[in-house]
Amino acid sequence: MNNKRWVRVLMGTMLTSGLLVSACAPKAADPAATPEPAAKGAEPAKSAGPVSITMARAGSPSAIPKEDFVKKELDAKLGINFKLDLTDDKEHANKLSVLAASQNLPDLIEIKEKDLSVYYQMARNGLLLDLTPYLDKLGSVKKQVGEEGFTKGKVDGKVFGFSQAPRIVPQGFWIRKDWLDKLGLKTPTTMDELLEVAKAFTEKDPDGNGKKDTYGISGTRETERGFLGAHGTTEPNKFYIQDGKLVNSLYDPNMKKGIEEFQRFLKAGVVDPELFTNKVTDVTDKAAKGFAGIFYEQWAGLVRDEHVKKMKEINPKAELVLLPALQGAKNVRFNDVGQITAIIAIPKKLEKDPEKLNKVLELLNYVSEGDGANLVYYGQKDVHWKKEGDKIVLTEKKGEASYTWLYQLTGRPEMDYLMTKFPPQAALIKESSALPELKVYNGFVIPPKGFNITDANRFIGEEMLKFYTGKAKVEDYDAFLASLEKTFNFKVYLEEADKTLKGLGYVK
Amino acid sequence: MERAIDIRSTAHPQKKAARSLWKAVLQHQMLYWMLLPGLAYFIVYRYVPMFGAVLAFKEFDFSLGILASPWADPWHKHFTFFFESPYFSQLLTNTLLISLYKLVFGTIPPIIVAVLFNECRTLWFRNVVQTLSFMPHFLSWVIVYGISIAFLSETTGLFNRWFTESGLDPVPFLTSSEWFRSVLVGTDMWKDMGWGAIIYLAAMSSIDPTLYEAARVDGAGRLRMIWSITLPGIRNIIVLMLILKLGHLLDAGFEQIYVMYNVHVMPVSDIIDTWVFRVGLEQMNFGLASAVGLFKSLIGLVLVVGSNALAKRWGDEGLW
Repeated sequence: MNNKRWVRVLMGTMLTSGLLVSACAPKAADPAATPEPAAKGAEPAKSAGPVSITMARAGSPSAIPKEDFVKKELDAKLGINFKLDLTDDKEHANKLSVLAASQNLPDLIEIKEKDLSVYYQMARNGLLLDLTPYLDKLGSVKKQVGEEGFTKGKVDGKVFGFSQAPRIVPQGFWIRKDWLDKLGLKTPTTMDELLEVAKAFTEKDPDGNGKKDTYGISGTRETERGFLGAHGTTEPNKFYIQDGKLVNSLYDPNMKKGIEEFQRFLKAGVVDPELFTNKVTDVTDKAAKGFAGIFYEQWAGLVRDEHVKKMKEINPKAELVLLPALQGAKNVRFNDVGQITAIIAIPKKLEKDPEKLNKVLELLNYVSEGDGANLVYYGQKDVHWKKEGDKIVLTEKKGEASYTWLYQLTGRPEMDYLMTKFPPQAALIKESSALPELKVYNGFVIPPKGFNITDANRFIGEEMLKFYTGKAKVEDYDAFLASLEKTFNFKVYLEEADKTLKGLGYVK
Repeated sequence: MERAIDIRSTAHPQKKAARSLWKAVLQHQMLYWMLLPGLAYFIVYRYVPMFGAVLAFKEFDFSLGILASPWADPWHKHFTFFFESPYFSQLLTNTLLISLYKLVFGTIPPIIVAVLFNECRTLWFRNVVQTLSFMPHFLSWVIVYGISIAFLSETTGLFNRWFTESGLDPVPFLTSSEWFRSVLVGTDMWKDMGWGAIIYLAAMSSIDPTLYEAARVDGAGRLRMIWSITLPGIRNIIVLMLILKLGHLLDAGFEQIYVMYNVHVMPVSDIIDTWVFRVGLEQMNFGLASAVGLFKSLIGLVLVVGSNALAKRWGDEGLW
């Protein structure tokens, strides 16, 4: 019975593998099981080898090259063995919650802005270290992220993490200079002129291919900011301070004027019909193809070297320039001062391992200032960059250092960084950063329990779209607000915002 | 086996039966060993995780774990949160409608395709077409969405280019509530038609060929044979597939809709699963997510058991 024996062998292997699977089932790890050097006063116990530190960060795991000079230098300088554990952006939050649920959090955690609910949950469940006693050990970090960085990380009054240094998102209107020249038009300076130009771009065949296949204006849904900003408000459901009082943009009397302005453009048929579904990549693509003549976007989506190259391949004369703020426009975008770029947090269990904790703090400081900072911004000195007088100039080999941003744990001083990294765009970045913006404070407001902000935002998004496109009349705007309050309990959120911002001292 | 029981069933019928069952197990022990890994799989991956459903009645706390987390107060908190969402009725309607459309258009076309393949006498042609027809099944929804944009986009899509060049108005296939469900069902059909046909084809190949011969002798044409032999021959499979699909009536295709929907079409395309993803999982509200999951599973269970009973009453073989 050769046959039977064979079957037995097969069965055996299958059964053992079954056992293995069950053995791998998640075990409740004991946080106290981590090596626990006795706390010996101020001086932490020295152990033999380098201290290994693992950090969970969002990013593509393949982004780090095999020859990772940043890690080598950090390890050597700080006596650590630093490991970045990268997970794709979409999966990162999932992974964090699994790690949290199994009490297996790594030594440093990054939480992206869109996953903040994970941060709140972890903080409230007591998994994160309250950084308050360690603030004086985080001097360089504080220089980098500022006092606000730590304020933004507050949950229920305690500092469980800090936000990376703020980024600049300098959106604005950009316009095809060559199209203006071809049609003999001037750069628009008012909203009315902008509409005229947009009409001409739609109807007068600015690309000269004999077809009516162009549009005046394109962008993502965020284009609404440009139009509402012309009337002093901004995107729906943003909190800002007007005459010392907290205002939600939805309740700003200027909102109706803004809606009518945007409606005027949409009704004229000069706006990309896919405006509300475009993603930034679509806009980049449409700009390169000469699909429209005016774009509401930030420089990085339009005029990076590779985008310009692509655009010039299709039309060598193509030239996108920034449109200066229109007359009377109060702002062209908002800037959320409470906006969190990403939260950096340390798990509570490190409290029991002062040596490791100290190294983690040291690491955070090191990449925030001086040599360590330059290493993670630009690469190795005299290899990827060199000093010319006071300025840092990147060398030919800068391409090798394109992954170093993964080690910018505390962020970077955005303006200096961009000026050094993108010399050809430096002027445009400066110019677009100088456009007027409205300070908003949404980032500080945590939606109260029981208030379903997702449903409310969906309602706001859909209803506003109806107003913009003229499917709903502006006269019905107050009815919309009433049902927002009644059906979605919106007042609770407004009250929470008021309370929070008063607590932080932004509103009196 | 039955015979063995019959012979010995003179005294102590129960004891005998038990003994003979044990004997039967011993005799076929190889089969039972082979059953074990399957059982283990179901226990580890299907039954044990069911205890997680208890989360539907808890306030999940990372540091405490599932069992030690405090009970929700009141116990139906997460369920009420779901039922009281202003969008509840819309979500349910969308889910059921999209699901029903997919049920109808996901069943009939594959049968037609299977019949066509079955009737195709040029073997190489049939093989080539069949292989091509089930290829889309292996594409991810992101890719299918990319393809549908290339064809259906309002400004750059191939169809709308044709429309505008021939003087017609462009049709916002992907951004209008009138068209979007058709696009959902259409892409779903395109993706899984060939794949769905495989099982019907397999069922057809087990129909006794002498039936066809007899019919041919009696002068039946091709259409008559399809109608009177092929279709009745696969009736059981059709019913079986329908019952299985009914269990998933409240899954209208999360992946597809999550990739394809946008602010214009939310009112006709937001389904229970996409809502749970946004409100439950993205907001770390695991209690809510499990409550809705439990709700869906219970309805699915009722539907499967009910339709199975109905199928049996109508004289078809059910699932069990």
